[in-house]
Amino acid sequence: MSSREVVVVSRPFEPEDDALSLARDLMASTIGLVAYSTQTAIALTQAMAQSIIGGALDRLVPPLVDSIVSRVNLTDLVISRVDLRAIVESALDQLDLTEIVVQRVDVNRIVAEANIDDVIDRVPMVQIADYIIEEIDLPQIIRESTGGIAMDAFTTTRYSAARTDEFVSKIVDTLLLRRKGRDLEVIDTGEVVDPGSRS
Amino acid sequence: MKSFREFRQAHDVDDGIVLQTLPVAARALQGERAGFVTRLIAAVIDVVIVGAIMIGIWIAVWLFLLVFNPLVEYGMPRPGYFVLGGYFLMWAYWSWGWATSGRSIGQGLMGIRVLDRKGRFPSWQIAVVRSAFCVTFQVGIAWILVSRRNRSVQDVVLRTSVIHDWTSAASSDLIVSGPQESNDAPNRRAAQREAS
Repeated sequence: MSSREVVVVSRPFEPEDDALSLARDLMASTIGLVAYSTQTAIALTQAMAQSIIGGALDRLVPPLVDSIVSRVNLTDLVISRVDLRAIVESALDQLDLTEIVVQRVDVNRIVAEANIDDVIDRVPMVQIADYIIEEIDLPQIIRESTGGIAMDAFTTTRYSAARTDEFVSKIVDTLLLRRKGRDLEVIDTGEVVDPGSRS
Repeated sequence: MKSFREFRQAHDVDDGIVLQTLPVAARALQGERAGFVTRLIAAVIDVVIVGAIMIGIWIAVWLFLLVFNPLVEYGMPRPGYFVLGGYFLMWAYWSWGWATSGRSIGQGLMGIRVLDRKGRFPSWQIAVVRSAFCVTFQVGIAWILVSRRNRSVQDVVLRTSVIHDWTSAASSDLIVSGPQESNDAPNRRAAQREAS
């Protein structure tokens, strides 16, 4: 990196006697003074003009616009002159309406305040009831739950036999020194679904 | 009143609605392999039924002959024929029951069901073979006592199993069927409805 050195040498003032150089200096000073004065005057004038015009506009424009607007039906103007559909469509294109509704709208409140009776009137209730009865096999449920005394006797017998099975199995397993109980799940293929044991 | 939300939280849809008609204590049994006592009682009921049928057949034949030829005296047939006929009837009865509904009358009363190795109703072949095996080797049922999986000798050889299924035949597809079949159930019902 190079460094520069500045050497300041002072020398005593020596007035120039030369008239030509004196005139040149005078000329240069005059031109500089005129240029500076002109720039300052222009800036001052601009600032003044802006403040005067701004003030005037502030006072004039609002009543002017008011008087114009009061004489014109803006709504009709917009409807007749503006392509509202294009504006709305472009706005909708830019918005994710579903997301906005999900975030901003309390759907539960709307549903809570909605008139459910009207909705139900439009729903095919009989068909739905028919569907549910068919799906849950209601006739079968009725048949199985109203077996009567004979059915109760069989239920008791079945249950007693099953409990006896457990008892006998335990005795045999104890005699055979088995620690684990019996594996009673049908797991050969995993295809047997056993709803009862899940609940 | 319980709200639907509470009801739904407490009940799984896959639980099978039909089973809710069963006693609560019995629900856990469903689908488990049945034990010795249950199956023995079912077998005894079946034997009694077949025996009753045999006696009925004999009485019918005796009455028939008595009507048309009253002068000749007919005694009891020789025990050998009676037992042979009983065995044959027992075989036919079990074959028919297992192949058509997976259970004989005795098993139906005791709420048990025979399944093949895939957990479905036994085919005709399996039913016929198992029935013959059970008729000829009755003591095979005793193996249930020591089998870890409650299997008789017949079950071990033919890879069948006998499970508790207290529902009636019409609703039992909830227990026995695999996932594919249960998914098809609505379509099947619709097809049946259209056909009828």
